[in-house]
Amino acid sequence: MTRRRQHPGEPFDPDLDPADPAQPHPAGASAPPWSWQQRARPDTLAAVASGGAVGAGARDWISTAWPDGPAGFPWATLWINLGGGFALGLGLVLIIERLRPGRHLRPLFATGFCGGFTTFSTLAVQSDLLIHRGRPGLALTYVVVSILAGLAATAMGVAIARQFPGRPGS
Amino acid sequence: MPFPYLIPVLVLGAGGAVSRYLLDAFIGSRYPGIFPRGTFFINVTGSLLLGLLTGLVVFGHGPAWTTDILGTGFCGAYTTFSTFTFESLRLIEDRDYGQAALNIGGSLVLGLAGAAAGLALGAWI
Repeated sequence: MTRRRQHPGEPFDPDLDPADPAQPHPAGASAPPWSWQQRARPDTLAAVASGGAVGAGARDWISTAWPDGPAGFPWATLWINLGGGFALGLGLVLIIERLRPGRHLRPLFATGFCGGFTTFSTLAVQSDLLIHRGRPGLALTYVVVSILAGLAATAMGVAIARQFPGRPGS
Repeated sequence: MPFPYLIPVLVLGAGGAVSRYLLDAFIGSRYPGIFPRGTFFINVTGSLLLGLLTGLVVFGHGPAWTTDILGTGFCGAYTTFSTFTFESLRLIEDRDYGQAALNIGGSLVLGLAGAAAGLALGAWI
């Protein structure tokens, strides 16, 4: 079976530049050797750190302003993850396919902000705590809704970004 | 969040994001492939760590700032939901349905199990 990328211009790994030799290759293709240290440039790390700080601060602010009850549904984390998934889908496609800015916006916005704003560990721990507090149905609903709506929100962001006209010559 | 927690949360959020970026790069270089191994490993280990911190506070005798600062700042920024859905979506778009199911199902099962193990360990300590 031959695998064909549907959107070969986009990165598979959203943390990497599309031209980065570390981008995963379709099965069968041989990847050129590279080292992870090549990605640890100080300016890139500064962009990731700045975005991560703002993302974590925003998440903390929202979840503090909108606390869950003792066995309540974790609405704040759900909306944070859905909003962050939408923003990553929209922003990443705009950055890579449309705007094509310098090399700092993607690590700042995608890896730093969206990655730091959304959280997987809180989803896992909240679900386990709901089960522990005798609400397994609510835990299952939370997990399933997070995944399905998260995929849909990201897909919606990607689809909206593709409506924007591309840069001439691209 | 209490105001004194703001600066530590921002600093640990930056540290969590940079740790994720570097670890994802390291795993991607050692184990290349279309399956997003880096994010998978990061989300499972981050869930285990947040479970441990939460277990210490909720079931043990740990101070509340453990989860408020280390959990929210580091674990929250270290793990990521948006990259997880983006990479899963890309596998679906490329019709790698088996890999997509493995990524979504595996992340959930091991993430929840890791968090539960961490909670139990935190309560036991």
